[in-house]
Amino acid sequence: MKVLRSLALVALALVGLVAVAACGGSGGGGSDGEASAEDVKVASDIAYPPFEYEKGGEPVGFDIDLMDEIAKRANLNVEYQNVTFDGIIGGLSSNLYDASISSMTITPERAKKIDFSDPYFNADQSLLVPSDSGVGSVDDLGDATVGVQLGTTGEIKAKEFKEQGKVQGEIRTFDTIEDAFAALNNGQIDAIINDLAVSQDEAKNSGGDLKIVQVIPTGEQYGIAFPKDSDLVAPVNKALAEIKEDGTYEKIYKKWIGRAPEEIP
Amino acid sequence: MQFELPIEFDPGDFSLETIRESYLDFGLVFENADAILQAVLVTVLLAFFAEALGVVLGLVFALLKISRFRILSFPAQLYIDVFRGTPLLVQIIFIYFATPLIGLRFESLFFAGLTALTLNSAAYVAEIFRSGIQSIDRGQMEAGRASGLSYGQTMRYIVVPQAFRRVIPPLTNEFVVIIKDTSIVSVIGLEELLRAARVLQSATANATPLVVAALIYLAICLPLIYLANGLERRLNRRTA
Repeated sequence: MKVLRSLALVALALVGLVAVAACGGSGGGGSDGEASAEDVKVASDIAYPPFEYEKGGEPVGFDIDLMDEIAKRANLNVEYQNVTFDGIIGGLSSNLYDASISSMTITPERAKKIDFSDPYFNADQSLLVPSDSGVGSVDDLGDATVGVQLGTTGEIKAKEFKEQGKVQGEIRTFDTIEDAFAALNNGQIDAIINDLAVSQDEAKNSGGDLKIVQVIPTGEQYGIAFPKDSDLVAPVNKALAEIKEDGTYEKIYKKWIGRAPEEIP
Repeated sequence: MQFELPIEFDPGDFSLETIRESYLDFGLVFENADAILQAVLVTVLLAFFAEALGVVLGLVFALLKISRFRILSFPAQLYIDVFRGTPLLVQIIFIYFATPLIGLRFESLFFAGLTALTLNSAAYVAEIFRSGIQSIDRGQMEAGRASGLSYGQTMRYIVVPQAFRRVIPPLTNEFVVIIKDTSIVSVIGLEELLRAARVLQSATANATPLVVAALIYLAICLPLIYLANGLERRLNRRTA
Protein backbone atom coordinates (compact mmCIF):
# COMPACT_ATOMS: atom_id res chain seq x y z
CA MET A 1 0.00 0.00 0.00
CA LYS A 2 2.77 2.36 0.98
CA VAL A 3 4.49 1.77 -2.33
CA LEU A 4 1.26 2.42 -4.17
CA ARG A 5 0.66 5.65 -2.31
CA SER A 6 4.15 6.99 -2.98
CA LEU A 7 3.81 6.01 -6.63
CA ALA A 8 0.58 7.96 -6.81
CA LEU A 9 2.28 10.94 -5.20
CA VAL A 10 5.12 10.81 -7.72
CA ALA A 11 2.63 10.60 -10.56
CA LEU A 12 0.72 13.57 -9.17
CA ALA A 13 3.92 15.56 -8.82
CA LEU A 14 4.86 14.75 -12.41
CA VAL A 15 1.48 15.86 -13.71
CA GLY A 16 1.89 19.09 -11.75
CA LEU A 17 5.36 19.67 -13.16
CA VAL A 18 4.23 19.11 -16.70
CA ALA A 19 1.30 21.46 -16.20
CA VAL A 20 3.59 24.16 -14.80
CA ALA A 21 6.05 23.58 -17.61
CA ALA A 22 3.30 23.81 -20.20
CA CYS A 23 2.16 27.14 -18.79
CA GLY A 24 5.72 28.41 -18.59
CA GLY A 25 6.38 27.28 -22.14
CA SER A 26 3.38 28.92 -23.74
CA GLY A 27 3.90 32.07 -21.67
CA GLY A 28 7.49 32.33 -22.89
CA GLY A 29 6.48 31.76 -26.48
CA GLY A 30 3.71 34.35 -26.34
CA SER A 31 5.72 37.29 -25.07
CA ASP A 32 8.22 38.76 -27.45
CA GLY A 33 10.42 40.32 -24.77
CA GLU A 34 13.95 39.23 -25.67
CA ALA A 35 15.39 39.67 -22.20
CA SER A 36 18.33 37.28 -22.52
CA ALA A 37 19.58 37.19 -26.10
CA GLU A 38 22.98 35.92 -24.93
CA ASP A 39 22.44 32.18 -25.20
CA VAL A 40 22.62 31.05 -28.81
CA LYS A 41 22.45 27.49 -30.07
CA VAL A 42 24.78 27.18 -33.04
CA ALA A 43 24.40 24.11 -35.25
CA SER A 44 27.42 22.72 -37.04
CA ASP A 45 28.33 19.49 -38.81
CA ILE A 46 31.47 19.02 -36.74
CA ALA A 47 33.22 16.58 -39.06
CA TYR A 48 34.65 18.95 -41.62
CA PRO A 49 38.28 19.78 -40.97
CA PRO A 50 39.84 22.30 -41.02
CA PHE A 51 36.62 24.28 -40.58
CA GLU A 52 35.02 22.32 -37.78
CA TYR A 53 36.07 19.07 -36.17
CA GLU A 54 36.48 17.61 -32.74
CA LYS A 55 39.70 17.54 -30.83
CA GLY A 56 39.71 16.13 -27.31
CA GLY A 57 35.91 16.27 -27.24
CA GLU A 58 35.81 19.98 -28.08
CA PRO A 59 34.91 21.54 -31.44
CA VAL A 60 37.83 23.33 -33.07
CA GLY A 61 38.58 24.82 -36.48
CA PHE A 62 38.34 27.94 -38.60
CA ASP A 63 34.60 28.34 -38.18
CA ILE A 64 34.74 27.72 -34.44
CA ASP A 65 37.50 30.31 -33.86
CA LEU A 66 35.62 32.81 -36.00
CA MET A 67 32.30 32.17 -34.26
CA ASP A 68 33.92 32.38 -30.81
CA GLU A 69 35.50 35.70 -31.79
CA ILE A 70 32.15 37.00 -33.04
CA ALA A 71 30.46 35.81 -29.86
CA LYS A 72 33.00 37.66 -27.74
CA ARG A 73 32.40 40.90 -29.59
CA ALA A 74 28.62 40.62 -29.91
CA ASN A 75 28.23 39.44 -26.31
CA LEU A 76 26.77 36.03 -27.14
CA ASN A 77 27.04 32.80 -25.24
CA VAL A 78 27.51 30.11 -27.89
CA GLU A 79 26.52 26.51 -27.41
CA TYR A 80 27.50 24.25 -30.33
CA GLN A 81 25.24 21.45 -31.50
CA ASN A 82 26.77 18.73 -33.62
CA VAL A 83 24.32 17.84 -36.41
CA THR A 84 24.38 16.35 -39.91
CA PHE A 85 24.73 18.97 -42.62
CA ASP A 86 21.56 18.10 -44.51
CA GLY A 87 19.47 18.80 -41.39
CA ILE A 88 20.74 22.34 -40.75
CA ILE A 89 18.45 24.32 -43.04
CA GLY A 90 15.35 22.49 -41.86
CA GLY A 91 16.47 22.91 -38.24
CA LEU A 92 17.02 26.64 -38.67
CA SER A 93 13.70 27.26 -40.39
CA SER A 94 11.91 25.41 -37.60
CA ASN A 95 13.89 27.37 -35.00
CA LEU A 96 15.64 24.35 -33.53
CA TYR A 97 18.87 26.37 -33.69
CA ASP A 98 19.53 30.10 -33.44
CA ALA A 99 22.37 30.08 -35.94
CA SER A 100 24.69 27.79 -37.85
CA ILE A 101 28.32 28.05 -38.83
CA SER A 102 29.15 25.03 -40.93
CA SER A 103 31.04 26.04 -44.08
CA MET A 104 27.70 26.75 -45.67
CA THR A 105 27.77 28.37 -49.10
CA ILE A 106 25.41 31.28 -49.59
CA THR A 107 23.04 30.35 -52.42
CA PRO A 108 19.85 32.05 -53.62
CA GLU A 109 18.00 28.75 -53.09
CA ARG A 110 19.05 28.53 -49.46
CA ALA A 111 18.47 32.25 -48.94
CA LYS A 112 14.79 31.66 -49.61
CA LYS A 113 14.58 29.51 -46.49
CA ILE A 114 17.12 31.12 -44.17
CA ASP A 115 19.08 34.33 -43.65
CA PHE A 116 22.83 34.63 -44.14
CA SER A 117 25.47 36.87 -42.60
CA ASP A 118 27.91 38.67 -44.86
CA PRO A 119 30.28 36.18 -46.50
CA TYR A 120 33.21 35.08 -44.36
CA PHE A 121 35.11 32.73 -46.67
CA ASN A 122 35.86 32.50 -50.38
CA ALA A 123 35.48 28.87 -51.37
CA ASP A 124 35.69 26.85 -54.53
CA GLN A 125 34.88 23.25 -55.30
CA SER A 126 37.50 20.68 -56.15
CA LEU A 127 37.98 17.22 -57.60
CA LEU A 128 39.83 14.85 -55.28
CA VAL A 129 41.08 11.51 -56.64
CA PRO A 130 43.63 8.82 -55.75
CA SER A 131 47.04 9.98 -56.97
CA ASP A 132 47.46 6.93 -59.22
CA SER A 133 44.01 7.13 -60.85
CA GLY A 134 45.05 8.91 -64.05
CA VAL A 135 42.08 11.26 -63.76
CA GLY A 136 43.18 14.82 -64.52
CA SER A 137 39.88 16.67 -64.56
CA VAL A 138 36.12 16.25 -64.45
CA ASP A 139 36.20 15.45 -68.19
CA ASP A 140 38.15 12.25 -67.49
CA LEU A 141 35.60 10.87 -65.04
CA GLY A 142 33.55 8.87 -67.56
CA ASP A 143 31.50 6.33 -65.65
CA ALA A 144 33.50 6.68 -62.43
CA THR A 145 31.57 6.74 -59.14
CA VAL A 146 31.64 10.21 -57.60
CA GLY A 147 31.20 10.72 -53.86
CA VAL A 148 29.63 13.84 -52.35
CA GLN A 149 28.23 14.88 -49.01
CA LEU A 150 24.43 14.99 -48.86
CA GLY A 151 23.02 18.50 -49.15
CA THR A 152 26.27 20.25 -50.07
CA THR A 153 27.16 22.45 -53.04
CA GLY A 154 29.47 19.59 -54.06
CA GLU A 155 26.36 17.45 -54.52
CA ILE A 156 24.68 20.16 -56.57
CA LYS A 157 27.81 20.59 -58.72
CA ALA A 158 28.13 16.83 -59.27
CA LYS A 159 24.51 16.64 -60.41
CA GLU A 160 25.17 19.54 -62.79
CA PHE A 161 28.10 17.61 -64.29
CA LYS A 162 25.86 14.58 -64.62
CA GLU A 163 23.23 16.58 -66.49
CA GLN A 164 25.92 17.94 -68.79
CA GLY A 165 27.08 14.39 -69.44
CA LYS A 166 30.56 14.94 -68.00
CA VAL A 167 29.80 12.48 -65.23
CA GLN A 168 28.08 9.30 -66.39
CA GLY A 169 28.64 7.16 -63.30
CA GLU A 170 26.76 7.00 -60.04
CA ILE A 171 26.75 9.96 -57.66
CA ARG A 172 26.92 8.56 -54.16
CA THR A 173 25.80 10.66 -51.20
CA PHE A 174 27.34 10.31 -47.74
CA ASP A 175 26.10 11.69 -44.43
CA THR A 176 29.49 13.16 -43.55
CA ILE A 177 32.48 14.08 -45.70
CA GLU A 178 34.59 11.83 -43.45
CA ASP A 179 32.56 8.83 -44.67
CA ALA A 180 33.18 9.89 -48.26
CA PHE A 181 36.93 10.22 -47.62
CA ALA A 182 36.95 6.76 -46.02
CA ALA A 183 35.21 5.27 -49.06
CA LEU A 184 37.71 6.98 -51.40
CA ASN A 185 40.64 5.71 -49.34
CA ASN A 186 39.08 2.24 -49.42
CA GLY A 187 38.77 2.40 -53.21
CA GLN A 188 34.97 2.08 -53.04
CA ILE A 189 34.45 5.31 -54.95
CA ASP A 190 36.66 6.93 -57.59
CA ALA A 191 36.48 10.66 -56.86
CA ILE A 192 35.02 13.28 -54.55
CA ILE A 193 33.65 16.68 -55.45
CA ASN A 194 33.79 18.89 -52.39
CA ASP A 195 34.89 22.23 -50.94
CA LEU A 196 38.50 22.96 -51.91
CA ALA A 197 39.96 23.80 -48.51
CA VAL A 198 38.55 20.67 -46.90
CA SER A 199 39.65 18.29 -49.65
CA GLN A 200 43.03 20.01 -49.64
CA ASP A 201 43.38 19.22 -45.96
CA GLU A 202 42.49 15.56 -46.62
CA ALA A 203 44.99 15.35 -49.52
CA LYS A 204 47.69 16.81 -47.29
CA ASN A 205 46.98 14.27 -44.55
CA SER A 206 46.85 11.31 -46.96
CA GLY A 207 50.63 11.20 -47.37
CA GLY A 208 50.44 11.44 -51.15
CA ASP A 209 47.70 8.84 -51.68
CA LEU A 210 45.12 11.44 -52.70
CA LYS A 211 45.45 14.64 -54.67
CA ILE A 212 43.40 17.55 -55.93
CA VAL A 213 43.51 17.45 -59.72
CA GLN A 214 41.10 20.24 -60.47
CA VAL A 215 39.90 23.38 -58.78
CA ILE A 216 36.32 24.02 -59.87
CA PRO A 217 35.87 27.76 -59.58
CA THR A 218 32.39 28.59 -58.42
CA GLY A 219 32.88 31.97 -56.77
CA GLU A 220 30.95 30.63 -53.82
CA GLN A 221 31.26 32.08 -50.37
CA TYR A 222 30.47 30.75 -46.93
CA GLY A 223 28.07 32.56 -44.65
CA ILE A 224 26.76 32.12 -41.13
CA ALA A 225 23.13 31.03 -41.34
CA PHE A 226 20.13 32.12 -39.28
CA PRO A 227 16.40 31.53 -39.21
CA LYS A 228 14.54 34.04 -41.42
CA ASP A 229 14.39 37.56 -39.93
CA SER A 230 16.65 36.68 -37.03
CA ASP A 231 17.71 39.56 -34.74
CA LEU A 232 21.19 38.07 -34.66
CA VAL A 233 22.13 38.96 -38.26
CA ALA A 234 22.93 42.64 -37.59
CA PRO A 235 25.15 42.22 -34.49
CA VAL A 236 26.96 39.25 -36.07
CA ASN A 237 27.65 41.23 -39.27
CA LYS A 238 28.97 44.14 -37.22
CA ALA A 239 31.35 41.88 -35.29
CA LEU A 240 32.38 40.09 -38.51
CA ALA A 241 33.25 43.41 -40.18
CA GLU A 242 35.44 44.38 -37.23
CA ILE A 243 37.19 41.01 -37.32
CA LYS A 244 37.93 41.37 -41.04
CA GLU A 245 39.23 44.88 -40.53
CA ASP A 246 41.52 44.61 -37.50
CA GLY A 247 43.63 41.66 -38.72
CA THR A 248 41.96 38.98 -36.60
CA TYR A 249 40.48 37.37 -39.72
CA GLU A 250 43.90 37.01 -41.31
CA LYS A 251 45.27 35.47 -38.13
CA ILE A 252 42.50 32.84 -37.98
CA TYR A 253 42.89 32.14 -41.71
CA LYS A 254 46.64 31.59 -41.43
CA LYS A 255 46.19 29.34 -38.40
CA TRP A 256 43.79 26.93 -40.13
CA ILE A 257 44.39 27.25 -43.87
CA GLY A 258 48.14 27.57 -43.60
CA ARG A 259 48.59 30.68 -45.72
CA ALA A 260 47.38 34.25 -45.92
CA PRO A 261 44.05 34.82 -47.66
CA GLU A 262 44.37 36.12 -51.23
CA GLU A 263 41.39 38.31 -50.65
CA ILE A 264 39.20 38.97 -47.66
CA PRO A 265 35.54 38.46 -48.62
CA MET B 1 8.62 26.74 -8.84
CA GLN B 2 10.48 27.03 -12.14
CA PHE B 3 10.60 24.03 -14.36
CA GLU B 4 10.91 24.01 -18.11
CA LEU B 5 10.76 21.03 -20.38
CA PRO B 6 13.66 21.07 -22.83
CA ILE B 7 11.19 21.46 -25.66
CA GLU B 8 9.83 24.58 -27.20
CA PHE B 9 6.59 25.12 -28.99
CA ASP B 10 6.11 28.05 -31.31
CA PRO B 11 2.36 28.47 -31.88
CA GLY B 12 3.13 30.90 -34.70
CA ASP B 13 4.52 28.03 -36.80
CA PHE B 14 1.67 25.67 -36.05
CA SER B 15 -1.25 25.82 -38.42
CA LEU B 16 -3.04 23.67 -40.96
CA GLU B 17 -1.30 25.75 -43.58
CA THR B 18 2.26 25.00 -42.35
CA ILE B 19 1.41 21.32 -41.92
CA ARG B 20 0.11 21.17 -45.47
CA GLU B 21 3.09 23.07 -46.89
CA SER B 22 5.80 21.15 -45.04
CA TYR B 23 4.35 17.64 -44.82
CA LEU B 24 1.81 17.26 -47.60
CA ASP B 25 3.30 18.95 -50.65
CA PHE B 26 2.83 15.81 -52.73
CA GLY B 27 3.41 17.59 -56.05
CA LEU B 28 7.02 18.04 -55.02
CA VAL B 29 7.49 14.29 -54.61
CA PHE B 30 5.54 13.61 -57.79
CA GLU B 31 8.06 15.62 -59.80
CA ASN B 32 10.75 13.27 -58.53
CA ALA B 33 8.69 10.08 -58.66
CA ASP B 34 11.34 8.29 -60.73
CA ALA B 35 13.97 8.49 -58.02
CA ILE B 36 11.51 7.39 -55.33
CA LEU B 37 10.14 4.47 -57.34
CA GLN B 38 13.61 3.24 -58.14
CA ALA B 39 14.46 3.46 -54.46
CA VAL B 40 11.35 1.44 -53.55
CA LEU B 41 12.56 -1.26 -55.91
CA VAL B 42 15.97 -1.28 -54.22
CA THR B 43 14.32 -1.56 -50.80
CA VAL B 44 12.03 -4.41 -51.83
CA LEU B 45 14.75 -6.38 -53.66
CA LEU B 46 17.14 -5.91 -50.76
CA ALA B 47 14.58 -7.18 -48.25
CA PHE B 48 13.48 -10.06 -50.45
CA PHE B 49 16.95 -11.45 -51.08
CA ALA B 50 18.02 -10.89 -47.48
CA GLU B 51 15.00 -12.88 -46.27
CA ALA B 52 15.51 -15.67 -48.81
CA LEU B 53 19.22 -16.07 -48.08
CA GLY B 54 18.60 -15.54 -44.36
CA VAL B 55 16.12 -18.44 -44.31
CA VAL B 56 18.61 -20.82 -45.92
CA LEU B 57 21.48 -19.75 -43.68
CA GLY B 58 19.24 -19.57 -40.61
CA LEU B 59 18.01 -23.15 -41.09
CA VAL B 60 21.61 -24.35 -41.25
CA PHE B 61 22.49 -22.52 -38.03
CA ALA B 62 19.34 -23.83 -36.31
CA LEU B 63 20.22 -27.45 -37.16
CA LEU B 64 23.79 -26.90 -36.01
CA LYS B 65 22.65 -25.31 -32.79
CA ILE B 66 20.40 -28.19 -31.73
CA SER B 67 23.09 -30.73 -32.53
CA ARG B 68 24.33 -32.93 -29.68
CA PHE B 69 27.90 -32.32 -30.77
CA ARG B 70 29.39 -29.23 -29.16
CA ILE B 71 31.81 -28.81 -32.01
CA LEU B 72 28.76 -28.07 -34.20
CA SER B 73 26.49 -26.33 -31.72
CA PHE B 74 29.07 -24.00 -30.18
CA PRO B 75 30.03 -22.05 -33.34
CA ALA B 76 26.36 -21.72 -34.26
CA GLN B 77 25.53 -20.44 -30.78
CA LEU B 78 28.43 -17.96 -30.96
CA TYR B 79 27.31 -16.69 -34.36
CA ILE B 80 23.71 -16.22 -33.22
CA ASP B 81 24.81 -14.45 -30.03
CA VAL B 82 27.13 -12.05 -31.83
CA PHE B 83 24.62 -11.04 -34.50
CA ARG B 84 21.66 -10.79 -32.14
CA GLY B 85 23.68 -9.04 -29.45
CA THR B 86 25.11 -6.21 -31.55
CA PRO B 87 23.23 -3.41 -33.31
CA LEU B 88 22.59 -3.89 -37.01
CA LEU B 89 23.91 -0.36 -37.58
CA VAL B 90 27.28 -1.39 -36.15
CA GLN B 91 27.32 -4.51 -38.35
CA ILE B 92 26.58 -2.51 -41.51
CA ILE B 93 29.18 0.18 -40.84
CA PHE B 94 31.72 -2.51 -39.98
CA ILE B 95 31.05 -4.55 -43.10
CA TYR B 96 31.30 -1.57 -45.43
CA PHE B 97 33.84 0.76 -43.85
CA ALA B 98 36.04 -1.54 -41.75
CA THR B 99 36.58 -4.69 -43.82
CA PRO B 100 38.63 -2.88 -46.52
CA LEU B 101 41.33 -2.37 -43.88
CA ILE B 102 42.02 -6.10 -44.04
CA GLY B 103 41.70 -6.32 -47.79
CA LEU B 104 38.03 -7.25 -48.19
CA ARG B 105 36.28 -4.57 -50.19
CA PHE B 106 32.63 -4.35 -51.13
CA GLU B 107 32.46 -2.54 -54.46
CA SER B 108 28.69 -2.62 -54.59
CA LEU B 109 26.67 -0.86 -51.91
CA PHE B 110 23.74 -3.14 -52.61
CA PHE B 111 25.82 -6.23 -52.03
CA ALA B 112 27.35 -4.78 -48.84
CA GLY B 113 23.87 -4.01 -47.51
CA LEU B 114 22.55 -7.40 -48.58
CA THR B 115 25.43 -9.15 -46.82
CA ALA B 116 24.83 -7.29 -43.57
CA LEU B 117 21.06 -7.84 -43.64
CA THR B 118 21.45 -11.52 -44.53
CA LEU B 119 23.99 -12.26 -41.81
CA ASN B 120 21.82 -10.40 -39.32
CA SER B 121 18.53 -12.01 -40.27
CA ALA B 122 20.13 -15.47 -40.39
CA ALA B 123 20.73 -15.19 -36.63
CA TYR B 124 17.08 -14.31 -35.93
CA VAL B 125 15.76 -16.90 -38.41
CA ALA B 126 17.95 -19.54 -36.74
CA GLU B 127 16.19 -18.88 -33.43
CA ILE B 128 12.80 -19.02 -35.17
CA PHE B 129 13.63 -22.41 -36.72
CA ARG B 130 15.13 -23.75 -33.49
CA SER B 131 11.99 -23.04 -31.51
CA GLY B 132 9.88 -24.34 -34.40
CA ILE B 133 11.80 -27.61 -34.53
CA GLN B 134 11.78 -27.99 -30.77
CA SER B 135 8.04 -27.39 -30.68
CA ILE B 136 7.47 -30.57 -32.71
CA ASP B 137 6.53 -33.38 -30.37
CA ARG B 138 9.54 -35.50 -29.37
CA GLY B 139 7.46 -38.56 -30.24
CA GLN B 140 7.85 -37.68 -33.93
CA MET B 141 11.60 -38.03 -33.72
CA GLU B 142 11.34 -41.21 -31.64
CA ALA B 143 8.81 -42.71 -34.07
CA GLY B 144 11.05 -41.86 -37.01
CA ARG B 145 14.08 -43.42 -35.36
CA ALA B 146 12.09 -46.49 -34.30
CA SER B 147 10.94 -47.06 -37.87
CA GLY B 148 14.54 -47.28 -38.97
CA LEU B 149 15.23 -43.75 -40.24
CA SER B 150 18.50 -42.05 -39.26
CA TYR B 151 18.59 -38.79 -37.24
CA GLY B 152 19.23 -36.83 -40.42
CA GLN B 153 16.46 -38.56 -42.37
CA THR B 154 13.94 -38.07 -39.56
CA MET B 155 14.84 -34.36 -39.41
CA ARG B 156 14.64 -34.00 -43.15
CA TYR B 157 11.45 -35.90 -43.90
CA ILE B 158 9.45 -35.65 -40.68
CA VAL B 159 10.46 -32.92 -38.25
CA VAL B 160 11.59 -29.99 -40.43
CA PRO B 161 8.59 -30.14 -42.82
CA GLN B 162 6.22 -29.93 -39.84
CA ALA B 163 8.29 -27.18 -38.26
CA PHE B 164 8.22 -25.22 -41.51
CA ARG B 165 4.48 -24.71 -41.25
CA ARG B 166 4.80 -23.38 -37.74
CA VAL B 167 7.58 -20.92 -38.56
CA ILE B 168 5.80 -19.26 -41.49
CA PRO B 169 4.07 -16.61 -39.34
CA PRO B 170 7.24 -15.63 -37.45
CA LEU B 171 9.20 -15.66 -40.72
CA THR B 172 6.64 -13.27 -42.19
CA ASN B 173 7.15 -11.00 -39.20
CA GLU B 174 10.90 -11.24 -39.72
CA PHE B 175 10.36 -10.12 -43.32
CA VAL B 176 8.58 -7.02 -42.02
CA VAL B 177 11.52 -6.34 -39.70
CA ILE B 178 13.97 -6.69 -42.61
CA ILE B 179 11.97 -4.30 -44.79
CA LYS B 180 12.17 -1.69 -42.05
CA ASP B 181 15.83 -2.49 -41.37
CA THR B 182 16.78 -1.80 -44.98
CA SER B 183 16.48 1.88 -44.03
CA ILE B 184 19.52 1.43 -41.78
CA VAL B 185 21.58 0.52 -44.85
CA SER B 186 21.12 4.12 -46.01
CA VAL B 187 23.99 5.01 -43.68
CA ILE B 188 26.56 3.67 -46.15
CA GLY B 189 25.03 5.70 -48.98
CA LEU B 190 22.86 3.12 -50.71
CA GLU B 191 20.00 4.97 -52.35
CA GLU B 192 17.15 2.94 -50.95
CA LEU B 193 13.84 4.50 -49.95
CA LEU B 194 15.00 6.47 -46.89
CA ARG B 195 18.08 7.96 -48.54
CA ALA B 196 16.19 8.87 -51.70
CA ALA B 197 13.68 10.65 -49.45
CA ARG B 198 16.44 12.44 -47.55
CA VAL B 199 18.20 13.52 -50.75
CA LEU B 200 14.93 15.06 -51.88
CA GLN B 201 14.24 16.48 -48.43
CA SER B 202 17.60 18.24 -48.24
CA ALA B 203 17.26 19.59 -51.77
CA THR B 204 13.84 21.07 -51.03
CA ALA B 205 13.97 21.71 -47.25
CA ASN B 206 10.55 20.07 -47.12
CA ALA B 207 9.49 17.05 -45.08
CA THR B 208 6.97 15.65 -47.57
CA PRO B 209 9.47 13.14 -49.01
CA LEU B 210 9.86 11.65 -45.52
CA VAL B 211 6.09 11.45 -45.10
CA VAL B 212 5.80 9.71 -48.46
CA ALA B 213 8.60 7.28 -47.53
CA ALA B 214 6.79 6.46 -44.28
CA LEU B 215 3.54 5.86 -46.16
CA ILE B 216 5.29 3.54 -48.61
CA TYR B 217 6.87 1.54 -45.77
CA LEU B 218 3.40 1.27 -44.23
CA ALA B 219 1.82 0.18 -47.50
CA ILE B 220 4.35 -2.64 -47.82
CA CYS B 221 4.50 -3.70 -44.17
CA LEU B 222 0.89 -3.52 -43.00
CA PRO B 223 -0.51 -6.20 -45.36
CA LEU B 224 2.34 -8.49 -44.32
CA ILE B 225 1.67 -7.85 -40.62
CA TYR B 226 -2.01 -8.74 -41.07
CA LEU B 227 -1.07 -11.75 -43.18
CA ALA B 228 1.21 -13.00 -40.39
CA ASN B 229 -1.54 -12.48 -37.82
CA GLY B 230 -4.04 -14.38 -39.98
CA LEU B 231 -1.65 -17.27 -40.55
CA GLU B 232 -0.93 -17.46 -36.85
CA ARG B 233 -4.63 -17.60 -35.98
CA ARG B 234 -5.24 -20.36 -38.51
CA LEU B 235 -2.31 -22.33 -37.18
CA ASN B 236 -3.49 -21.97 -33.59
CA ARG B 237 -6.97 -23.15 -34.51
CA ARG B 238 -5.58 -26.23 -36.20
CA THR B 239 -3.21 -27.21 -33.45
CA ALA B 240 -5.59 -26.32 -30.63
